[in-house]
Amino acid sequence: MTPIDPARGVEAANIRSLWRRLSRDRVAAAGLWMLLILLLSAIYAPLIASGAPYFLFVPEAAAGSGFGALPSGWSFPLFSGLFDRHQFQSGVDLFYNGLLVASPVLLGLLCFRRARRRIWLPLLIWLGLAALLAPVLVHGEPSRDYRRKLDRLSDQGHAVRALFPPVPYSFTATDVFRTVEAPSSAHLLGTDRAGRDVLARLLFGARMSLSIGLVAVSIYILIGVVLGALAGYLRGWVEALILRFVEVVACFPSFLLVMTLIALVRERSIIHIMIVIGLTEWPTVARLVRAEFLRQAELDYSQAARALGLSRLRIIFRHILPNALAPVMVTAAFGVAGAILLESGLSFLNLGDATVSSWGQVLRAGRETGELHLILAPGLLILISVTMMNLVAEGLQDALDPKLDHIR
Amino acid sequence: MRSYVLKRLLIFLPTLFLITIVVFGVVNAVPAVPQTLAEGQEAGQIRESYRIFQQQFGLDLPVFLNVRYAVSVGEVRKLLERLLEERGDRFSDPALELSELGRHAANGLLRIAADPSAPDTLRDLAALWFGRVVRYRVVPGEDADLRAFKNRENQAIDALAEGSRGGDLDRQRRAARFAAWIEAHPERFSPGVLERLRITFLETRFAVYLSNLAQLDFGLSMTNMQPVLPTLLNRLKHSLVLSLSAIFLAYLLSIPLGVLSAVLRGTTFERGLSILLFALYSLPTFFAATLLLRFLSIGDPFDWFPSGDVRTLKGFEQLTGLEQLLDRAHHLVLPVFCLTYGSLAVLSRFTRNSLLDVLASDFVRTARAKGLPEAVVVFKHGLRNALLPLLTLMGNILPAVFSGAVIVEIVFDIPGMGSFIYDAILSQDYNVIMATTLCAAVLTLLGYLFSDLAYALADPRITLERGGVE
Repeated sequence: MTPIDPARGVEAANIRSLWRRLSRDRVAAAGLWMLLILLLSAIYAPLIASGAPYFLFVPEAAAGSGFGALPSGWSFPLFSGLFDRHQFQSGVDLFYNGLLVASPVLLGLLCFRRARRRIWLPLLIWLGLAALLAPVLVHGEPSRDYRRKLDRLSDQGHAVRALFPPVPYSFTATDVFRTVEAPSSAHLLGTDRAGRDVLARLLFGARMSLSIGLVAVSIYILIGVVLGALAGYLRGWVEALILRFVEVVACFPSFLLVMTLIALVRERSIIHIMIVIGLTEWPTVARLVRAEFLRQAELDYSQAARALGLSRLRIIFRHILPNALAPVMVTAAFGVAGAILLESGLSFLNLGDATVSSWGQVLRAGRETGELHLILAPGLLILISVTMMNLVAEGLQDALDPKLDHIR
Repeated sequence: MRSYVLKRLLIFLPTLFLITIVVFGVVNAVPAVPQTLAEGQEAGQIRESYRIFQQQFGLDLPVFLNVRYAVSVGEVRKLLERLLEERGDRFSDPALELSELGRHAANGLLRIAADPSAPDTLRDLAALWFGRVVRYRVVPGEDADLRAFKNRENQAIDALAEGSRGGDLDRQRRAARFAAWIEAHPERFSPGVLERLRITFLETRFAVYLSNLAQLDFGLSMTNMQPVLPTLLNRLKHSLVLSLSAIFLAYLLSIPLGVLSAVLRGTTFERGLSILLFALYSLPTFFAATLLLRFLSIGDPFDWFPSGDVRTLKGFEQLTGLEQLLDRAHHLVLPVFCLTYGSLAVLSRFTRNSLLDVLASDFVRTARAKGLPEAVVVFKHGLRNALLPLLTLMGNILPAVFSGAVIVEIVFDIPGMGSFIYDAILSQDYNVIMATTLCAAVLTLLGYLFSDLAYALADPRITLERGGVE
């Protein structure tokens, strides 16, 4: 006999009607589309901006030997370099590259609804394993400056053929001869102080900034939901303790707290920033979840679950929690935008991780040069994406609020 | 009502205490040895000066709980053996640990010095350190009698180890003299239960800090050795002017905006306004501040506003009172704008929704049915009731404004709290970091308290069970 799980069915129906309401809101729908574009360009960033060509044909006679020489015949440097640790240093990039490789499968799943339910779990496990194993599996080749090499070869009269991505620069490749350039046809958004292409940096920065938002928010949602659920259902001294703690943490202006905490970390990396943001922003979520729990615990279904003699933890996490998550979703949606802003603020104050190319870091690098266009490009990108996220979050809030139906 | 206020005030103190614990724990979580401590030639000197620095700031005590009296002979012996490996270097890690243990290591050292089976070098080292750890520490600024007493006692301690020329018998005699000394001072070397409790909780960094705090002593800044409090108050003044005028302006602007978008709900104008406000809400403060500075103050294309600080530096004293005020206001325009625009969306949204809620209620329908003009309905019946919940938002806006103020103060070069803590963070100035964080937290707490009390005053239905912290 399979246990009946009323929560699940209700949840699915809710999500469908929520989706309908959300897509009826034109502003939120437009925001969703733009966010989708942002996400796609984050995933496919290497296909848009890379120093390596999609394909490369080098005649036998032109292929040299020795360090950094090009292989003869057909090769596909961009694709074979996706897990190259010289081109993608951070785990975040490797994860997105894994998504890129898996994206045809994901797309297929979206199209064939039937298969979806059965394949989700193995797929997620596979993705997780791939993300874990990626740093082990990656190979390393000496990084080459393909364009310069190919130019030289064709100058010598060899029939080399190559197709470069629209932005033919790697986001890490520096060029000491072309630093702080104004936008031109070669570099659409110019170059920074180290001669890196700003457009490529911003494309890959989308990966970093989105990850910061998602990971930081996941951390604090997790903390907040667990603490809020415990407080809301167990009541008594647990609740008093958690509430006191919430109140204490909520008293610190978050940016101040994040700044202080991050300054105490010796070797800052992007992971530390995510964790610190996660550790400081959870009180709002805990409060919300607790309030929602107090409300839900009075409703018939949770009393029925109690009457059935189900264990407390089961009632908390399987029955009440799925129904109490609606306001949390809104907080999470606003939170991603907030976390991206926080990180860029930290980067602006030189308290971020200068080795990654998040949007905030690009802006900081631009500000150091004092060139207006180097500040405007990342700043406007942050502004637009964060606005979109906030508008979607707002739409979500309205869609979840049944009261608004009769007001509108 | 009165009991609510009383309860709310009573909760204030424990929360303050918890906040202090959190701030203190976080700031002291870092290992005490700074990263600049180098190995090599001058490492000894640097370490020694750092040790003196630590003693000066009380950093040689444990953070929260002091159980050093429970140190065992085995642990002391291990420290001594490590010290031997370092060839007795006074500035090595085990030596620092021994001097941190202080008088609590005396019993262990005595046992080792008296142990005939221990190697002679170890026994001699134990005796040497015994003489060091039992000495009284002379603190600058104490009265002459105490100092004279300490000096006398310290001479007596130095005499204990004298006259020992090696050999087993000499070592035994020396150990016996040590033992006699320890027995003569039971209050220092064999603490009773009460004394142990006192040491556990009170001989800690936290207790020292807390007792200083109770006297409003925030310690010295480690960078310029000046007391933190006067500087903090001076800087707080600038921050408060900035934040409060931003909050005032935000309320002033967002209430009409909120009313407007409630009355015009669903129209294109309202949607456009809401998108605009959301864009402002999403506009990073540092970006806006940088651009404003770039366009409006450095003369390219405009130089309407000064680029930093809170007043003109040259000739400020010659201005009349009104001109001084105007000068300050002129300096405040850009920073206050940067702090204000972000909270407009939240506040006006809240006003709008709250007003819509009220307008949907029965008494408004009655008012309309009476044939009252719409303006009277909205402003007299609606808005009055809708503004109440806006008071509670005050508590949420305050931390956000403080957070924003950090960046604004840094960009506009305002000597406020935000730039104070930023500089302190960059130079790892613990006392300043703690004092500033505490101050910000207390101000936020006061903000919550204030908004709760104001709400309770305005709405007699509120009790502790329904409003406030719940």
